[in-house]
Amino acid sequence: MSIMEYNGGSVIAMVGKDCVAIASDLRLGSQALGISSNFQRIFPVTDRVYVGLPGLATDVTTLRERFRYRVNMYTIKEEREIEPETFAHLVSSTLYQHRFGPYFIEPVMAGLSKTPSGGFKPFIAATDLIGCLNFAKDFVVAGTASAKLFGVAEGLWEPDLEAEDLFETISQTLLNAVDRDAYSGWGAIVHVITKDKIITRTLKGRMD
Amino acid sequence: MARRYDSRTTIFSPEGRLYQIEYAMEAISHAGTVLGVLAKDGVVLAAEKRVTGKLLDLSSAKEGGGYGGSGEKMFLLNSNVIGGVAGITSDANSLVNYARTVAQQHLLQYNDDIPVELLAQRLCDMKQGYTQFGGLRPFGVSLLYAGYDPHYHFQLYHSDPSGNYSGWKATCIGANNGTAQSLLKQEYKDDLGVEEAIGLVLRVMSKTMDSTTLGSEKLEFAVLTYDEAAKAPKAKIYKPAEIDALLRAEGLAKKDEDTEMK
Amino acid sequence: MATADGGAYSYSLTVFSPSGKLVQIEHALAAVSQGTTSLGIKASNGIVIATEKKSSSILIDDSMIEKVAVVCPNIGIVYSGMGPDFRVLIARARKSAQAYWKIYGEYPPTKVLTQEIATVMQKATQSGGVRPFGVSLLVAGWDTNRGPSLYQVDPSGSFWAWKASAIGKNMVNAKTFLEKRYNDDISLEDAIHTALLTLKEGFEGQMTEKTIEIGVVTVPTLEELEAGKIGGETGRPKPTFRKLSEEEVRDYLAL
Repeated sequence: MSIMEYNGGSVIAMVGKDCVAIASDLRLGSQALGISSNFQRIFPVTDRVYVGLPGLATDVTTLRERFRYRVNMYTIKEEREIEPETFAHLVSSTLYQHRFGPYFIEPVMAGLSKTPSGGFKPFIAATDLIGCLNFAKDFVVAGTASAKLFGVAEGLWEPDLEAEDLFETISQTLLNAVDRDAYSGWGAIVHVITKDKIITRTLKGRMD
Repeated sequence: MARRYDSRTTIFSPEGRLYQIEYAMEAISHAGTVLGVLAKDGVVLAAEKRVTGKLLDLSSAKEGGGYGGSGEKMFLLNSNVIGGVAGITSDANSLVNYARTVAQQHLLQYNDDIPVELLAQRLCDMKQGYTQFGGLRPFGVSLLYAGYDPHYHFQLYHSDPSGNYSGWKATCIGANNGTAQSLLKQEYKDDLGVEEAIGLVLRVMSKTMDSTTLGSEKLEFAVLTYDEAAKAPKAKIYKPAEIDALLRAEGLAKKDEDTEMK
Repeated sequence: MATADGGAYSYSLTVFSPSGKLVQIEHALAAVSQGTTSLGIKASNGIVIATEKKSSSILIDDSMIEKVAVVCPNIGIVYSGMGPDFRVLIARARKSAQAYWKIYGEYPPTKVLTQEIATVMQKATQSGGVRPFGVSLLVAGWDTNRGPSLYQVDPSGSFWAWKASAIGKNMVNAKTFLEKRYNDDISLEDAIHTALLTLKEGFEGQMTEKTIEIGVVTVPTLEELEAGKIGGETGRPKPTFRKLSEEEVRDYLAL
């Protein structure tokens, strides 16, 4: 069994119309044994960028603190908030630095990036555990249910969903995918990022 | 050799003095004034900007605030500490950099913002190092730290090139610090509120600074308070327009002579 | 001096004088003020940096002398003072810009790069056995956050943002000249001409495309920006800083 599956958990991010969503299940396990049904693996980076860190739980904490350090230093030195593209590169280069002794995490990022004309543009990305970036126009998935997430998302996602519709789509995708994965589930959390607010909702899921 | 003992920090003179430190302090005593006052619900810092010039580009100073934001002499060292520096600006930049790294390392290790005294102490340990080993010159910088931590709440510290630091209710570094200190001694009252402290700082600054009138081109200003809603300290480094507005409100703004002439 | 303490090279060469001055830094500034004049002007739609290029003999191939250097696609630097010191600093600046690119996938903002160079220069005033750098720099660049910005860095490692500044031999006169000429909505074309006029004051010898160097920052248009964003598929954004060719300089001089 792979170390990537040791604690379980999955994350998905989706693009909507002028909004993005990122969602994760809440299970923390020790292989087949469930430990917690309130394990957070999605974290805010700025007001407009979130990162999800599915993988080995100890590395979730470590990476989250590492990224907080790097982003704080960036913010204080550059006197501005980090843009999602820039953060994605930071994530990628941090993971690649540990190419030969990697963190067992496959990060998923979602945010709104500033456009030169002053608007906002949806941005999502994911990397593998050594930082290979994958920019997608529709959705990205990672974690123990990633194969199932891919399948359900392929079927449910459509372009230009408004915030509430995007919420429904990502929620249904996640809940239905994790029901088919023994290592993910036990409830879920969804964040929808729009230009003027962030909608965060906790979902109930099957507890088996 | 006439200057046998004064060009190295690592050697005592026969009288037991470290001349390099004294000289560094001499450098600071000519630098722009930095003043700090501790209030019961906040800390106030003000600094005198010396570098002026018609063609200086001040447009970047209008941005900032939030987590980032720094002026020429006011720097956010961490989300809970603002530093005001007097002395050689390039040395100061290096210390500010060090302070920010130390603060973030603390956050990484302990998942808590660094206590204010500890941050001051870490900088002083480095400053002290330069007076004992390595044979390098000391930092030509004194700092004021305005900070908040959950244990001791609001605090104001001062550190000098030797690595000495101390806590203060109100203090001043740089040029004319003697005048400012005695003014502060007369006017400081215990359980001062932050609004009164702002007034006190501006009044003392206006009397201490060489120029007759106060304006944002010569003054930097910062206040650290506690945001009850966010349950976190709130550091605010004022933008030039905000400083001018503040000075007008306190009745200390300069009269715009040019417009009066017209 | 093979002593146990590392010898003379472990001591600061830059030390405080009784009056609190760092004499070595003042001497370094003196070296800068013997260097040829350089200047920079920030315009409403760009920046120009320019310098006088003097070669000691007509036999020198002056196309080999580079006094305006490109650091990364959005930043260029000109100097006054010691050429060799400048070359070393430029190498450091370029490395630093590429290191930033490797982490963030974009080139550093002007202020961040300026700070990096300033740190290198500050270290030379405090480390063992090292003299300060004998150069002042004018750093011109463009970034999404601050737009065009112009910084001056001195041997001490201090830096300031300027609308216009001059360094080197003729800096005092040049600055007075610039103060008279500058206004906030000067265009880049006008700024280039002002730069040439300023250089002309106190120019030794003839001003030709061989004896001056010019670099310009241009502000990209919205369309260029939209196109250059992720994924600017080549990963190489369109440069916002470039040096003017000899032909271009000649054309400006002819006007």
